[in-house]
Amino acid sequence: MGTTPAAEVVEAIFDEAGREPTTALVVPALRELFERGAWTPQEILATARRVPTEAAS
Amino acid sequence: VKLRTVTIERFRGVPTKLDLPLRGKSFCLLGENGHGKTTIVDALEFWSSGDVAFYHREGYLQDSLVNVDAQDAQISCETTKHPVLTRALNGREASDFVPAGPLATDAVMPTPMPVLRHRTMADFMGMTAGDKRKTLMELFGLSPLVTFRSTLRTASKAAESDATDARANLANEKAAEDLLLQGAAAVDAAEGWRVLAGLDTAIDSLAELAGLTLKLSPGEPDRLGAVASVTTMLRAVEPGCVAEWNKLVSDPDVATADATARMLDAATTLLPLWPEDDCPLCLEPIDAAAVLRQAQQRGADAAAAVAELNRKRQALAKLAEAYANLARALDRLLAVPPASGWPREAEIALLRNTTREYAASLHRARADLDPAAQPPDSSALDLAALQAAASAAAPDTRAEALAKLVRLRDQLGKTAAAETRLRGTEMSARALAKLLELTDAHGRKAVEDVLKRVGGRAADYYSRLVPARVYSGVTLEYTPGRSGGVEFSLEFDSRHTIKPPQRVMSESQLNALGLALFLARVREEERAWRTLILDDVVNSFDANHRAGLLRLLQEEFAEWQVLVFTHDRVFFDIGGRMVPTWQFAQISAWTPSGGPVIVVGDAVEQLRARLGEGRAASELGGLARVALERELAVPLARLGFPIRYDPHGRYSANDLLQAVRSGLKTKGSEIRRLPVFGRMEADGYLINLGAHDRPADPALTVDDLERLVSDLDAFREAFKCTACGEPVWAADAGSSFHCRCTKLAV
Repeated sequence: MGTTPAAEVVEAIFDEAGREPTTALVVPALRELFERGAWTPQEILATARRVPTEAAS
Repeated sequence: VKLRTVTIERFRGVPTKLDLPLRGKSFCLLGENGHGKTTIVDALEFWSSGDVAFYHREGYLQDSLVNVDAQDAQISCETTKHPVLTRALNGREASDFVPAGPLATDAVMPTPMPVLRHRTMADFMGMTAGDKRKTLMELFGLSPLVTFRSTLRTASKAAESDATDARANLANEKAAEDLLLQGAAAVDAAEGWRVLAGLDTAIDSLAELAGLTLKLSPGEPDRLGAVASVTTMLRAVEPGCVAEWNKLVSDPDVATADATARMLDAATTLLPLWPEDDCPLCLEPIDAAAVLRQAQQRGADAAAAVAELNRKRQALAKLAEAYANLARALDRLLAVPPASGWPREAEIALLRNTTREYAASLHRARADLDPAAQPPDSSALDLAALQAAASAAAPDTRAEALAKLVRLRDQLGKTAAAETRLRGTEMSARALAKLLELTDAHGRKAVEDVLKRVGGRAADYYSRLVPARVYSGVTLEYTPGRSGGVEFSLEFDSRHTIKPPQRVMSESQLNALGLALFLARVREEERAWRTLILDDVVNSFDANHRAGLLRLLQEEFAEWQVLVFTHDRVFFDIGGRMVPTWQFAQISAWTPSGGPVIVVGDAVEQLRARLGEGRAASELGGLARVALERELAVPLARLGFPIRYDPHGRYSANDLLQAVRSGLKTKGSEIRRLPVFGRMEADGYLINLGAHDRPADPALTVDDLERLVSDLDAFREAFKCTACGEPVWAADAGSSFHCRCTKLAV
């Protein structure tokens, strides 16, 4: 079905956030979440919590 | 992509089946409210989107899309690029497109076709700038971005609240740790213990302290007991030091020194003043200089004695303080349970020796000050005796120390976890906040891009929809705010800038503006569809606006298949004249069991054919009314006769017939005297079929309808020239019309 205008914008948002050193760790996991269609506040929060914890351990 | 055929089954107001043979052409369907126009629009929107969300927004249940008498519905459409594609709705489940046969592998499924409903447009114009922005984003396929942002925002808020909790939690854990450790001093103390105990590893962090304490375990009561004894002994010595100090304060030597100082003072002051040469007490001659020298010598001796005494006192105080420190350090050391092999004998011996040395020097210092003082009781240094005395207290001390260590270890673990959690939550919150910030920035840019693309075209369309306008300079403006907004701005009478337009514009003008925006968007966006659906959009338009819209559609959407659904007969009639390439059809009736009856083409011929098939009169009432009204409307439209104004354009057959007669009379035409006019006026079918708001009279018979068909034939013939066979409107001579041979004129 091709890329929708919104998908292009979201892609650009993830690209830019992924380049930020302070957010680069969490963003790829969030992006994967979005691409999987699991983009809910609960999933986002769980992922955003999980990634730094895993990185720390 | 355009629509060729549409088949709607068991969907909303279609109980059985409805076919729309569009053949890729533009199509205008006239129908009254409740006759199923919106059912068709909903069906097409559902078919193309597979989504019933648009319906939810109106507050209906998904189930209400299926006809009340059915369990499932299905819509099948054939396009100019696809074979018949069917989408089914079963309960709440919408199926994917199901092709009727093999589908070419490279065939692309059409994306949703553009649909504009009157309510959408009216709602849009009544929205706040913020909601307009959201809707505009939806129109341009950016609505997932709105959802994206809103989901992200909820998560971001939760993450921020997480971080706040984590900060508070860490502060609590640290406070608990401080309580247990009594601050950083505990580390210094521990280092002191280590040095004292002769350990060869340095303690320079809380973690190491924790590590050290973890190595310790109870199990060596003798050694622990030895350490306990030393501490108890030191405690016993310490109060002695305090007593010694108190004794020194009342030392007689200090009193002597004071008396000597006073004597010296008196001698120095009084002797020079004595008038005699003899002493007043012993009557011996006074050698004042000798007395003064003696006094001075005595004073100097006393001062030296005091200074020495003070020095000794300070030394003793220092010793006592060092002793007290040693006692405290050992006390803390005792609070740490011993590990295997620690403290070792050597360390105990070191402690013992250190203690003895301290005790001896303390004793020496005391003896120096007070030679009569007894040496301390040697039993005070008897480790065995002290050990016995302390052993009773030792188990409690051990248990207490161990509990303290376990708590400390747990606490250090909790603090470390709290620190990790805080780092994690702060990182998450930062990432989400950054994403949110970027979403806002990119969303703003996307809207601005849209405005740039669509704004100019919308203004152009508006000016063409409303030709004689007092509003000019229409622009769509983006207002950067908290979340940003979009609003129209326009000039009123070239004098005032108006924003928002609701301040001055009528509902019809607002709708025209909304329509201009929607049409501009359809032209701007890249969709495969060349089909455009307009549902009741001319609702509040006057004649100028209607003509403006038809012109605009003709000029800008010539390559498009425009499907207009309306209940506006005037628009329908004007359209019939202005855009002959379109198909015009009418919903003649709607029944609960049969659904909408669509009449395409010549209604009289259809009525004649159905009568020929032997259909019952009760089935044909709607078709008969359409046939009657259409035939009567033809001369009205062609000859431009006026009809009284009805805001809803709902004219009965009688209204139309009277308008034709009245127009003919004004023109002085004899056509009005033909017998068919009298017959029609007198016939019952005119009344039976006349009302729009109730079904045809059940008393209507096949005979009535056959008479109607025959009268309509005569009515049609009445406007045709008997010589050339052309209608009287074949030639338009400005203020009059005539047939080709000019024999018949109006």
